Amino acid sequence: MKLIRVDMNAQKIREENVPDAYAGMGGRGLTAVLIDAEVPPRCDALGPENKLVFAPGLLSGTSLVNTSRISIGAKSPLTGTIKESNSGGKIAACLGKLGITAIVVEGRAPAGKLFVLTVDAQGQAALLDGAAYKGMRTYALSAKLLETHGAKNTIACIGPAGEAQMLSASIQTTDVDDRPCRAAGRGGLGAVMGAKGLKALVVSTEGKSADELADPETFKESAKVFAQELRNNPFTSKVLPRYGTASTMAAVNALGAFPSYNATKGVFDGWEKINGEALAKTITARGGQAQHMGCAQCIVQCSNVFVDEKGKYVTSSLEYETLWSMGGMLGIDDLDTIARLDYLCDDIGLDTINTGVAVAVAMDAGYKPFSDRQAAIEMVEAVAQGTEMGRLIGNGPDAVGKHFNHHRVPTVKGQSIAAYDPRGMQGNGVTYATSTMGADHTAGNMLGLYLGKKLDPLAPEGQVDGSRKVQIGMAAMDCTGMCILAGMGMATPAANEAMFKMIGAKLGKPFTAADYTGMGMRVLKVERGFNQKAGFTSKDDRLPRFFMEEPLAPHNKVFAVSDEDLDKLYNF
Amino acid sequence: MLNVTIKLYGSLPWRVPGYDPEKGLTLELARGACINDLTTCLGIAAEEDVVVAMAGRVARPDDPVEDGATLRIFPVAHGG
Repeated sequence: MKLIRVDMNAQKIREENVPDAYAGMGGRGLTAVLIDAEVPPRCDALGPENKLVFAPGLLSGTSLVNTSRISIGAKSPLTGTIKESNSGGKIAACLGKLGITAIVVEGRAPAGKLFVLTVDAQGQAALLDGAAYKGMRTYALSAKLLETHGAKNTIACIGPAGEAQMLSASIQTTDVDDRPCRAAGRGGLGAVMGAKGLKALVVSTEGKSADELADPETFKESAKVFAQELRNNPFTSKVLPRYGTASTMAAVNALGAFPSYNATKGVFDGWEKINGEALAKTITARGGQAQHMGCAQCIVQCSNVFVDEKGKYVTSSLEYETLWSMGGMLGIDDLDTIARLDYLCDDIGLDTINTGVAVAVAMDAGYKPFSDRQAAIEMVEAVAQGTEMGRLIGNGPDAVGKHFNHHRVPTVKGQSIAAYDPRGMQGNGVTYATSTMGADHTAGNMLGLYLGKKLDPLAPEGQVDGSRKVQIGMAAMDCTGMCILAGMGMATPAANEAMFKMIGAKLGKPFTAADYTGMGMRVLKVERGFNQKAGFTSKDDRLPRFFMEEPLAPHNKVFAVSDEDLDKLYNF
Repeated sequence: MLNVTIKLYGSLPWRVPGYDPEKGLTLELARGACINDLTTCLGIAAEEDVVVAMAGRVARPDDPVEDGATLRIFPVAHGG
């Protein structure tokens, strides 16, 4: 259990035991409490006072399946709030196996300097000159770093967007095939990494010094139970492996909540050309991989490898959110174009969600017509070129909206919504408005409640209570390192009990359902407290006006949850 | 009789040999048929984790099927 602190000002590294105040925390929980304790809330997110924290989940590095999610946290330059963005790949499991609770990047390198941080198989960190990598895109960069440092490493890195400190810049992580195609996309944390002068983090995959479990036998037995529950769950064992996250597209279009053409329609005419079934069919026919293991220890395998007509690699993994942001939002129903845009974002180091929505706003404002495939590709490529339009796109939908004086900008606190329209799924609107992170579907997605007929997605009643419950649950899950999709397997009492037993077996004390809920509540309270100290009030927990004024077809509803009800979300 | 169009997603089309995803299925049901009658007709058991959407809403088993409707049937999803 150690923290590695990297002082970019002096290029010094020091290790310390995890302080008591952070003990028992992992993932988002740790990034939240550490940032709240150590980062001045009103600081410049791109300045030296901000800290960038890489924290594997509490259970990352253990034998439990699907626990290779890394939480990356900082004050966000995009939203101005506290931020946790998590990513898959191998790095969380690798850090866990090295017994590293977190890496904390502090200060700022001298102007113009660029560094690479390495962590070897003994957990020793070193800061190396990274001048040779300046300007490199992530695919070439990852290949070069693995060639230089050896194949038994995994990487988190930024591309040109991060170096240019653009507000939609992501931090890309390498997957099990060593491609930098997994992303901590949200919140512009790639810009924070760029501001610090850190181009990449290279971590050994050969660590053998994971923290000891307090009760290894209980952990082992519970881990088996959890894995079996995942194998028994139809969503994680059948739907996701076959159709990936794109399987969600049928449900959201069927409910009329798929924001299309910059959130002016709730059903995308061409959705059946880009849904999970079409994607799997296309990939399979071309010899790609419709089912693929993207992250370490994953037994769900919802990833895919998209190839072109000649069978050549294009991108991995083409996900629901990107199929939406680069597809439905732009009026593009062509998988090859969307796959190309996904690759470009990964390679340049951009959040596909914020970037697609920025392009959508530009199209809606009349800069280019919807459905113009080439224009979309050119706008994203322009980010890497650093042109004026590229800088607008790279800084996200708000920047584009201001430039064109366009009112329809679907963001909250500067961050774009995801592929669920608040008018067709009112509870997701509550989550977007009230999340501590700006609009963020992973903070509390209500889709499962709607499909399970537990709540009417179009009625304002009950949405705040539903969103609160889901947001607390997600905050807790984000502490564990468990993938959100595998986490859906926790739908059964047996899986829940196994999860609580494993956390208890790791921490060496009984851990109950109430403790789990309490962990989620604590995270949300800490995050909200930070935001309040940064100057945010409940008045910021609102959706853009157009969601209340422009009805969305086919239901022709507006977002109808009252401000008064929104302000009750944090009544706990 | 009621005439409806059925669109199937996920692994559900595999149950219908020759299913055309573009056209879907056209079915005739007795007047007064409900969603449960439809799923029974399609061989979908009550305990299966599938959703039937009609007119942009999640339908309940006892909801009456609307004449001329397009019904979309898909496995439960939780987001991505």
